[in-house]
Amino acid sequence: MTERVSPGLWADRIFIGLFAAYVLIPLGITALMAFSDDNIIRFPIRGWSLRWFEEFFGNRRWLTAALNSLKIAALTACLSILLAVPAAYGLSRSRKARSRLQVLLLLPLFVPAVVLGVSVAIGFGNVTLFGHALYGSSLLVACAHTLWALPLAITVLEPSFATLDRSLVEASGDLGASPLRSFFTVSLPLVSTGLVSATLFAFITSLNEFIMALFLTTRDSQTLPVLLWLSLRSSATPQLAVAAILLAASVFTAIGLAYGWYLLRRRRKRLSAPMI
Amino acid sequence: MTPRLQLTALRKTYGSFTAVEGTDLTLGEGEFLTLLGPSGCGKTTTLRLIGGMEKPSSGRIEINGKRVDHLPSYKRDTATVFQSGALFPHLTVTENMAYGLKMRGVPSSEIPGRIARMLDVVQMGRFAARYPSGMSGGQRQRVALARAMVVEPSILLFDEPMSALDLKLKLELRSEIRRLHRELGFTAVFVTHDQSEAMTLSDRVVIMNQGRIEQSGAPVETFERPASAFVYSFLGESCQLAIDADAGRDGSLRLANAPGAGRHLLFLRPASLRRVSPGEAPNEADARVAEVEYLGGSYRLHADAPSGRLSLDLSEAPALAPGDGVTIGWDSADATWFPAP
Repeated sequence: MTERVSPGLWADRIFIGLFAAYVLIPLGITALMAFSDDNIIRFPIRGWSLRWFEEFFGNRRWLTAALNSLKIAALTACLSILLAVPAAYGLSRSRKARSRLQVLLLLPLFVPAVVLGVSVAIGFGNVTLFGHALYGSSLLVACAHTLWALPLAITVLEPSFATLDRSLVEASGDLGASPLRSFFTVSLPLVSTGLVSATLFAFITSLNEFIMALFLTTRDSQTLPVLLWLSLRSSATPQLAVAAILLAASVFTAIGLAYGWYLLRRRRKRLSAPMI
Repeated sequence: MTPRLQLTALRKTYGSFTAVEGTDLTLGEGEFLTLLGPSGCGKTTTLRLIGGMEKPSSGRIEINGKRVDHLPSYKRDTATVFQSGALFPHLTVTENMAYGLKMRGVPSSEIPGRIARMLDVVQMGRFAARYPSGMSGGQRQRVALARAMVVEPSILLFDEPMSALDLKLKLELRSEIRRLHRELGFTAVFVTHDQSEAMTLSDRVVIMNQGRIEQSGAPVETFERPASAFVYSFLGESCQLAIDADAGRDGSLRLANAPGAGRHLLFLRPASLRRVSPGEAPNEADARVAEVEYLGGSYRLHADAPSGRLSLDLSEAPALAPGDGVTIGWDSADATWFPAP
């Protein structure tokens, strides 16, 4: 006899199925289209080939855009984490200021990207730094992306610091570690999971961001989403699908790496479980 | 000789609350001192002041004759065994133990040897490569002990290290600490609310109440010659009779030597009380049986005298029911008097 499944559970499954389909169908279609042999994006697909992948990797413009995206995302992740660690640590230590400051820190998330993009472009459009124009540089885009990535990173990190066992910090001081050494040898390693998540959030936020990048990049510094959009305006070849799939793939890879790292840590801990 | 530790008029207040009120204390080399008292008596605060985890509001702390009360925790030569153990979860047992040695600048060539020796001493050698999550509470506490001892501090501080362990482990670790103190001769301040821990471990017990030291002395001395009513009732079981000039006028209380004028408290240990026939003992009280409890192996009789409740242990079941009259006697030497507050 088969086990009876309650109606509630069925509703659950149907909902999850529909949700997954809703998310995955467009992605799946795009993925299929990337392998089309056709010159334009259309259905049904007449032949399969890897020619658009070849085109993508043979095209300097696309490669530069992909590289720009990764560079800006890495820069954003670095900036965000460098700022988020002290900020989150400080927030977790001051109960009074926490609620007020948290609202302030989250504010940029609710400012439309168009507004942020235009503001940064107007504000820094004519600024030169050490003889280089700031406008159009990867640094400026990364700084703009940090406006969004930083609040996310802080939000992810703050609970890690807040739940840190104070007696461990005390113990390290008691054993002779100065506050700074204690921070780097005890606090930081113990929030490493939060640290990895926060870095990842910042990285992906930047990788995905399109509007600010559109306002702040020039032809030389444009990112993959920006180039995608510009190409869509001119000619809709399956190369767009290739670019889109590669962008999605890099996001999923970043998540996968973080998850793998997390599993590895869990396993290492379990390996040292008592032998009975 | 300079004492290992000297506290002078040490005081700690939190707002209007006084946690430690003008404590003076001297600790000699190799001495094992216990701060004993109920929760909130200031014993843990005193320990944290010594370790530098709290700043004193006023007063002096000297370690080996050097004033340290202005120094942060990491510049003091103390090491603490925390209540939770506070082992670093991301480090192995060996790495946990190496931590303090590295921070104190011990040459790295010496470190492995010192760790190995100390792990042997606490019999945890085969756990060297384990992470704290892979050990039981008792094992973790042993490592915490080893981690504090391996740096060879001037003073070892114990912050109720056994309160989270079950009874069997508690007794085990207790005798372990006693053995280690005998073998290594460290100087220790041990905080506990458990009097049997304090009695078995210490050279000297300091009993604290409401931020003040009530009595300081050898365990036997504090138990047998308590300096205050608080100490008497805190250490061991006690019965307490409130006695004024009128007490016993009706003949229900017959004392060999009555106190002077005014209200007094008469303290007695259940173990020194016995059931007697009237006229048999030098001191006697007539009481009514309130309750007889079976304690497993013996019986405890609770009886209410006009001036208070008396309890005593009997080896055989008394043929008594609640409400029956009974006479309880004791020797004058077993009675302790304190003026009533």
